[in-house]
Amino acid sequence: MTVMEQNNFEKNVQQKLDELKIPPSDSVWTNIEKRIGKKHKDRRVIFILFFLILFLLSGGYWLFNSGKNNQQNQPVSNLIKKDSEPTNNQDSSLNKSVISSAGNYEKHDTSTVTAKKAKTLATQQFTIFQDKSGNSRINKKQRKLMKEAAFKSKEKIANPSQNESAVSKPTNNEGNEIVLNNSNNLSVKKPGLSQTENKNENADSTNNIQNKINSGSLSDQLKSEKITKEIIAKNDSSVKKHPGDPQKHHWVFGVTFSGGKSMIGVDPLGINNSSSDYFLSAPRYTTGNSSVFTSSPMRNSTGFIGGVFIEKNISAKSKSKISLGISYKYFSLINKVGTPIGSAFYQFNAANNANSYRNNFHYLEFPISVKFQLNDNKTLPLYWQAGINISQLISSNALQFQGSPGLYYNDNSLFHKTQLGLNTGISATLFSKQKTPVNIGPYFYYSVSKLADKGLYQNKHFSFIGIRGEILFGKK
Amino acid sequence: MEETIVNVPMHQMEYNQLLKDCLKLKPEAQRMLYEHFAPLMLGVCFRYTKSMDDAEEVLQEGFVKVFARLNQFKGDGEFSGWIRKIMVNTALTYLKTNQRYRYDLSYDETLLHLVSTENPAVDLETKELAELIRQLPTGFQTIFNLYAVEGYKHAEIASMLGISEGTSRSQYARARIVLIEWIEKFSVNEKNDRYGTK
Repeated sequence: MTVMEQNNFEKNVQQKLDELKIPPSDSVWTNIEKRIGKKHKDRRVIFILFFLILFLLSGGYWLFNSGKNNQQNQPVSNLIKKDSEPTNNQDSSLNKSVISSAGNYEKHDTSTVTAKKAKTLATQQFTIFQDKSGNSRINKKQRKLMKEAAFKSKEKIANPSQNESAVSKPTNNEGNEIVLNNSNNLSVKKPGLSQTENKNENADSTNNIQNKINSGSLSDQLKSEKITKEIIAKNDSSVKKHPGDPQKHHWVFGVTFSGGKSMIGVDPLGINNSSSDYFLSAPRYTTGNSSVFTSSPMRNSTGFIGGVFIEKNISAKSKSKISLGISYKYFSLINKVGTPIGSAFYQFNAANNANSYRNNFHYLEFPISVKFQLNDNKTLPLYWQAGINISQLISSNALQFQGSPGLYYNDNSLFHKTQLGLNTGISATLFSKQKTPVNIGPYFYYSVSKLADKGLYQNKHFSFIGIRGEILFGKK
Repeated sequence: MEETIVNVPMHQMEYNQLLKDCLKLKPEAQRMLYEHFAPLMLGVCFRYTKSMDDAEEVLQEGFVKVFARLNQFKGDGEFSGWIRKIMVNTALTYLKTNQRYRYDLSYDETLLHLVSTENPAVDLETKELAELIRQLPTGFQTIFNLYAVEGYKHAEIASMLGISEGTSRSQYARARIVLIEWIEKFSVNEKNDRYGTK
């Protein structure tokens, strides 16, 4: 018999069986529909949850900061308004000349610097604030600003009809507040500052000056009069800072990235994975007619975690911080598998361990941590950090193993999707006096939850060791 | 079960549109795709399993995979061929992981590589032939299906099942002999029943 004849039988069978069509029962589609619908829903829920949390975090951060800025700017603006309204109803534009912006001055120590503009104004007093060292922090830029403001004030005096806003709202690109008060004193202020001094508190003289301004014969009579002190004193209670310094209690936004090694094992460090027979191939033994294979050992591999977080001081004295965040976590493990089974997805035989296979695990993680400062060094603070992580498995291509007949296959239903973990680490803060300090140090994570109750990952726990970096934004 | 199947021919344009709609997760399109291919694919699953319930379970699992991996279909071959491969692989996994089949799915490597000299005509109905194939031991049944019906080579089968190529050949030869024997017996019985002779 020829091969051709032999193939006729196969051809006949093939032709016959290709025509085989059997209508399935209705329950099949019902079950399929349920399962594909559930998968879509699961994905949707994860995405919605992710974006909701991201939105809430960023929204909360933005709201908190904008609220804080308003709080800082409010008192100074208010006090000027309060002061101007009763004393000057003739030219309110001067009284409104307040520009609010941000700056870097400290709160308590203040002094007065008088800047004279002989040609234009008789005397103008610039109230500025000093830093802690007591040095007057007026620089060239600020001087220029004051000059500009004074010049604009003069223009306003000379030209009462000029657009109010042009005079009353000079721009300060350094972010200090420039206040042209009732007596034409220019005060450069930092938002949130507590006190300025005032030499003269005569309200009548203010009115006189204002009257003279309006009559156009003011320039030679303008004298430096400080009324800011009184004004601020009135409003002191609203401006005064608390000893704890609220700036140290605000939420700070940051990004974090950890890179290292993800490990798996029954012990926290996954030491038992460092099996020396990693490259030994299955099978190990044979029973009857069929071989029983053993799975190749798992090798620890790359892992990384990246995300965003917010952090705030719990209290200034205890030097401790709390942080909340959301992260994407990637862990991977490598094992050896045989050749793929046909074009099957994630299916390999175990007859020979010829190929390396990377088992990827993608998690969405919600870490909550507490940090304690270990030293008193302000230049290089050291922190010990500890916390808990709740993770949700988003997807995985990890393989399970069937000893007989020797098959690697993917079945994520065996995994516990939600994992509870503990983390700890030590970090040093670099550039701690900058606006964007960087924390860096070793980080360790251990998953308290078992990865699975059965299968290849039965009773195994994930752990991760690596270097963690954090960049903080918005530090004042 | 009734076997009244309406085979709806589908043009390439409709096909592409249907796939696009399925990728957009439109339930009507998914239903339509299922209805178009389910009878043919259940025929495939039927040949690999021992009961209709198992065949439907494989079909269900296979279609879940089809919808989940639809974006991986690159359009470089026939879509029906792509689905069929998924069904076959799902069936193999089912056999390997299901307790009922696992112990029956042994490949005796001591079998001699027999060569059948017979080449009978297959006068059976499709369903009858499929039923006979299903009566084979699971190992024979699987290899016969993979080689004779799906057209895989012995080397490929060996790789898929984790056995040697020689085992695949000998198992197939054995399965062929048994099946031919059964076909002949079945045909004789049929004739006897038909003409009332013994």
